Amino acid sequence: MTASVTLSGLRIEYGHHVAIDGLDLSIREGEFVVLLGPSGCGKSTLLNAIAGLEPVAGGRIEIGGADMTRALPKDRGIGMVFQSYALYPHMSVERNLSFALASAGRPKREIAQRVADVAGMLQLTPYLKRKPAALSGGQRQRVAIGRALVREAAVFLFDEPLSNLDAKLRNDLRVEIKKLHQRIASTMIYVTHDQVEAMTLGDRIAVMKGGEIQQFDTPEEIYHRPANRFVAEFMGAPMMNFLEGRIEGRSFLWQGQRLDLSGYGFRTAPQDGPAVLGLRPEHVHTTGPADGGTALAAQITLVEPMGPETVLWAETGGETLRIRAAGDIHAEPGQAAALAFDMPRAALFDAATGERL
Amino acid sequence: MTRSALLQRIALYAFLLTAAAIFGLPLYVMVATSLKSMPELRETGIFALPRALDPSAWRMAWTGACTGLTCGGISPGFWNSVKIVVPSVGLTVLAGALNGYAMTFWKPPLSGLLLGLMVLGAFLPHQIFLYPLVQWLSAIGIYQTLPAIIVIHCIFGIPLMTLLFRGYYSGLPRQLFLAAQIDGAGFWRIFLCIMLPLAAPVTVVAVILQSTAIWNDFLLGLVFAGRENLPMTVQLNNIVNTVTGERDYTVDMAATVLTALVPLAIFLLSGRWFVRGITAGAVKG
Amino acid sequence: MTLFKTDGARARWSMPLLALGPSWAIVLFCYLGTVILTFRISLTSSGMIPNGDYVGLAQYRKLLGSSRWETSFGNMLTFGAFFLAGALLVGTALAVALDRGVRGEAVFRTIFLYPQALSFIVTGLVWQWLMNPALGIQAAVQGWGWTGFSFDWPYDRGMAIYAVVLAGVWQASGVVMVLMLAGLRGIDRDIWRAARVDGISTWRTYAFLVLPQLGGMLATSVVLLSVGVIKVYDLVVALTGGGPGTASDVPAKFIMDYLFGRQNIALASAASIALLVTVLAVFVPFHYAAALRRRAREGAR
Repeated sequence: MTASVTLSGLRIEYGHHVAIDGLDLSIREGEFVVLLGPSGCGKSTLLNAIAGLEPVAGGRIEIGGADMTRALPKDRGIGMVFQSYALYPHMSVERNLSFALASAGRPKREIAQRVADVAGMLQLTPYLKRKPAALSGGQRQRVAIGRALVREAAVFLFDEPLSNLDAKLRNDLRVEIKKLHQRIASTMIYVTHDQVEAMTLGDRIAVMKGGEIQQFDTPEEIYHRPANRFVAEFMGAPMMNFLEGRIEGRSFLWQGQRLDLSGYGFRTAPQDGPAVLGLRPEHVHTTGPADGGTALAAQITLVEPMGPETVLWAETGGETLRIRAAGDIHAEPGQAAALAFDMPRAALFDAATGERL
Repeated sequence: MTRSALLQRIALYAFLLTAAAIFGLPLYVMVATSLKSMPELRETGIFALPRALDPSAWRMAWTGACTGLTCGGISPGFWNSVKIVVPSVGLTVLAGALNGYAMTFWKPPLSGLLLGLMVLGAFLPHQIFLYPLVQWLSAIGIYQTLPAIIVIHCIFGIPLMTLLFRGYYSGLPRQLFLAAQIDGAGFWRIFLCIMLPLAAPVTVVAVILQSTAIWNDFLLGLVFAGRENLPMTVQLNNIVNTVTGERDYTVDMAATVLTALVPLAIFLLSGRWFVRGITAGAVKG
Repeated sequence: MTLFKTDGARARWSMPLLALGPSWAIVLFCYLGTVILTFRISLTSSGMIPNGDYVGLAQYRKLLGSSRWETSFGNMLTFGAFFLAGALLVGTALAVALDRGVRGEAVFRTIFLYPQALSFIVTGLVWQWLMNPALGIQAAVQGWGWTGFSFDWPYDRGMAIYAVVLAGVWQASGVVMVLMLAGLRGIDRDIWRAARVDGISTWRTYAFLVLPQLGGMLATSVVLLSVGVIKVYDLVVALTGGGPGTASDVPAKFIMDYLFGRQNIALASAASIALLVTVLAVFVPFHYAAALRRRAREGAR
């Protein structure tokens, strides 16, 4: 079972406060879409609206081509997995799984069959008689997913399902969810504030801020060609470096340096004026003091070895830059370094609007 | 342990034991008096242990003591109280659970105002509301009947129960409610299958709190129950404070002990639940 | 303004509103409605049953000129002050003592708390018995040789209300103890370790570090006890009957006597409204201040 989800002109209000105003989003059948943003950006509100748990003030929600704007949650063909899993603590796993079907008044035999199928698929059969409190974190999450599977949901909604877990379990379950999507091919909409989850899980990511979608694209595009400064800042750790300077002709002027922009793909013809240059830490290279050339003189102020890589903090002309270097680099604070920028892979933003140029 | 620490310890236990003796004294005197006879009482005073366990005062209090006009003892009051407490507790607790559930999870318009008014009303002296209620119940012909006193206990009992359940439900994850909606359960099904069973602990607290409160009520029983249904507390006060002839204090105290027995038993058997009721009701208030 | 913005909202809220219907009825009719009717009766010259003879504020003038009302109201204030102070002091002292880690804490707690389970009628009658001049504590102590000892407060015009205070403190201290003990147990235990490292005495740790953190529990206790103060009725009826004479009368008993005993429902209604206004005059500013403080705190965040 799978279905497309289309939101058009969606508007959500809390009293007099408008949380979301005129939002459009189109999700294809079987697609895994991640809604990503800081807390308060409206991503959970949006998910709840799709689920029918949040009244909609205007616009339209279509699931599988049918208008579901005012439909009850149970009639939308959706399943939802919550942050706390929201398993009914007083019911056994079996009753947790069967509750929706029993609510819908399905015949007993059909319920038993479907619960058995799902339990088998999720390896929950040995635990059917247990209460949620007697399950491990991973098993609980599988029950939560099973609850959606039993209902043969066409669209799965995930509301930060991993954020309560420790790092190790989070990695394991992330893989589980990805495998599940490959197996059942249902549409999945996944809310998170964790960019690693977004990058690893999503076919496409919608980065949100202030109730608006900033960019909706594949993980690669979002990382390498962020649509504006907010997306650029939010994605990537350590954070992108931002250098404030001017565009003049085919060059970017910064700290008296003239950086070549001839390899940069402008969206529209560039105009001279103030702009911000964005450089990912991996696009700043240390060339070593001996290399010479057009390199920038800098001084290393901090070294953070991470194992596979080392993050260097280097100061040049009053700016501190973050640099991703090889794990086996030998650097020490106070050491001089020469920096080179990978200009074709940089991002240029309008100084006033923050939009990508 | 140093010398001063030892002295501190001794002072601490001395304080606690003295306090315990003062707090326990009334109960002791009440029980000891009820097991004596009047001559023995005059002779030995209130503090002496009874010479023998003489149950005659208890028997008299239960079946023979005079309450104003009749001399049937306090036993009719006991059964009246049972008849009042059981339905009143059932109704108020159920209504409190339903209200708490509806307010916490569905949040219909103006429910904050409703709760505020309920709490305000529950904290005011009942006397302010009494007379019009008497008039209305008379008008529909049930004033001073069993249904009347039950209705009145509901009117004044539901607010605190609502507060109690609302406090409990606001502590539950809201996602449970959302999940149940996704699963297709409606207002009543979510209440009956999920929220009511989940509220089992607070329901126990509510039942303890409410049965003690209604058993101990005096004012409402006095006004609304009617002569045939007077609860035990009212009958007790009638027995003791209606002086006909010489007062038999042993019977008075026996009747008092009998009246205190039910709530004391609830208190002793429920232990921590009782404490939880006091703190829950208080903290949320 | 319409209550419902959309059809969906109407469908969504129909059941919850139905469920809350009885409670709305209670609030609108039994609380607000009765107060309005009581106010209307207070403006008439009604005796045993309400009549339509409006006499303006005459009943209120009569009430304020009544020495019995003055006594009742004064008694409520006296009772309130001493009862609050007594129960808070005793309850806090017991809580601090139990917090020192004593053996048999559960037994002590049970002994201090059991009076709370009793009816005010039971409490009143027991203390009436204990303070019985002929056979109670006074007689016993005199029998031990202190012939000058006197403990007959319910029968002493000047002391009767303090008999009610004593019984009230006995009954209510346990609740304060429970709340304060819960508060003490909720305090970060590291305070104690820090205080010991800094060489601060146990007494000073309590007085300056621990008890000041129990403001919330203190406020809760005050609210709880205050509700008891304005409602005090049963205890007076059982312990002193309001006597001797009307020496230990309280407003709630004043109202009851004029409603059902003396058949002057207009005056009783005026007294009810006066009591209500008094309570609101205390409660509303208090509540408003608390709400303001809460908003300020949230704003600061």
